[in-house]
Amino acid sequence: MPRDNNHISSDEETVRAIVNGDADSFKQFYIKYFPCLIRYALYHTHSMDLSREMVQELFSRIWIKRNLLNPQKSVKAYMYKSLHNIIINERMLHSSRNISLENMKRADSGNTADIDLKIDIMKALNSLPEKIKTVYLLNRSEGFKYGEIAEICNISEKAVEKRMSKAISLLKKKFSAEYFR
Amino acid sequence: MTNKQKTKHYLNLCIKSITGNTNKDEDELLKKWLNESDENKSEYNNIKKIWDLTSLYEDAQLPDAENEWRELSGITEPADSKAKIRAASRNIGNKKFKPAFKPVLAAALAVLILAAVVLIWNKTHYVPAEEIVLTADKAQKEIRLPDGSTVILNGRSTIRYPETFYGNIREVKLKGEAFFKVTKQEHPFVVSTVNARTTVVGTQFDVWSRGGDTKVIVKKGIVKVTPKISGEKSVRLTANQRSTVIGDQSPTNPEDVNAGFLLGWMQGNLVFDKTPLLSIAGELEKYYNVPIEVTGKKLEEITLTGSFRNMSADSALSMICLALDLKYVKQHGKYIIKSK
Repeated sequence: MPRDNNHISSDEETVRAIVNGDADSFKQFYIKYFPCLIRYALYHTHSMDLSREMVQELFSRIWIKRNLLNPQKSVKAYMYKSLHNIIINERMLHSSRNISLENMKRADSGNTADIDLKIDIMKALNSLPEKIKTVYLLNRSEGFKYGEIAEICNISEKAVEKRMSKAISLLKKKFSAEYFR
Repeated sequence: MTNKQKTKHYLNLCIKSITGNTNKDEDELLKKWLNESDENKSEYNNIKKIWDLTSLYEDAQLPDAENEWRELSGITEPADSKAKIRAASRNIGNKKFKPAFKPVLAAALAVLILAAVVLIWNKTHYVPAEEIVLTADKAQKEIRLPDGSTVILNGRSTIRYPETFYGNIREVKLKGEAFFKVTKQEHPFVVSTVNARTTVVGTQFDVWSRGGDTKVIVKKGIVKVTPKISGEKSVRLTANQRSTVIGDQSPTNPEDVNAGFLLGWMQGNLVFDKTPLLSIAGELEKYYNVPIEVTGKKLEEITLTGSFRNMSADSALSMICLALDLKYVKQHGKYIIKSK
């Protein structure tokens, strides 16, 4: 499950180039982060269209404000934080946007037979308190290590551990007993 | 460690192990604990099940990053990018659509909305017929464009667009105000106003253009605003940003705004954002069709931010007066706002 997570060290040079307006480096950066950011947004929005728009918006902001990037700091943390803000903003503007089967079907190319189960899972994930959900999803969607999550969320590793265990125990309560036979 | 603390500690270890966050020593510890009882094993398996269950989008088919990049770079236009999309579309945009208008067919009149369809014929080329939609005061109209994009046209506004989009660009011409929900397509979508061009690929935004000025507010996505006077710099806006093009000046830098509030006109609200009292009086005058006067030089400089909905003229005026600590009187069917 854990994916390649050696981003931070190798990003420094790329980010420096981006700050200097190098479009090719920006493209490299884009291609590298696009999938994991999209997936993270998907877990929050359950809509591919919405996730795409959000990630595009994020990158356009990064490019426009590239002179504000700090190559010595984790740009990954900065990106996830900004994406998170975009997601929260969107939610405030469209509080009525409900979890819909349509979204789910569109976002999920897989088998539709187990769609009911997936909706249960989605609801369970959505019911987690925001801070706990963020930590859990960073781990779940991209396999970030506790240390990296701590950096992204600006909390201690110990706090990450606590939130992870809280997430698991809440989810356990949410899922009906039948999944544990 | 109490028993309870011990269990908690090991449950944390289970989670860490499943999520790939344990070191060797911890793995050993966990192994021992798991072998202690079946109960422990089943705890571990339950956590593992939750973890596996929540992998909703692990295998989701994601959009192709290269394609998405192309779409983004068409708008962001990095300084030395190899993407030529924007340059190409600009050339096309300038040379088409200058037909000699010959209205053949005009006008269907509704109570509030006036919509006219005009066929145009160009002597050298056949150009698709042009649709013209106009709205009266206080009217709003939702229009579906040939590419599936939708437009909500505010009152006192005109939009012109071809019956089918032609060439490598989707261009509409706007006077007044409209909100656009643009479908994503390869060809850029351009809103042309008296002094500016607003270019997008697929997004939601509002264009306001009256009296020689243009204002653009973005609700979602990325929009590029280019002044029509060549040589002036263009500006890129993302969600909840606004730029204004005054006359032949450059667009103002992006300003952070609350698009949801400013675009309240779509819900039938009258929205004012730091608007001078004098302009508000003018708007209300048209809206309620009653004369409204502001007396006193000082009052003219006051500005107000707020939105009004489904209100009588009296309640709107009393709200304004309450907010600004003023009063109003009604004389011979005319409202007069003045200091207390």
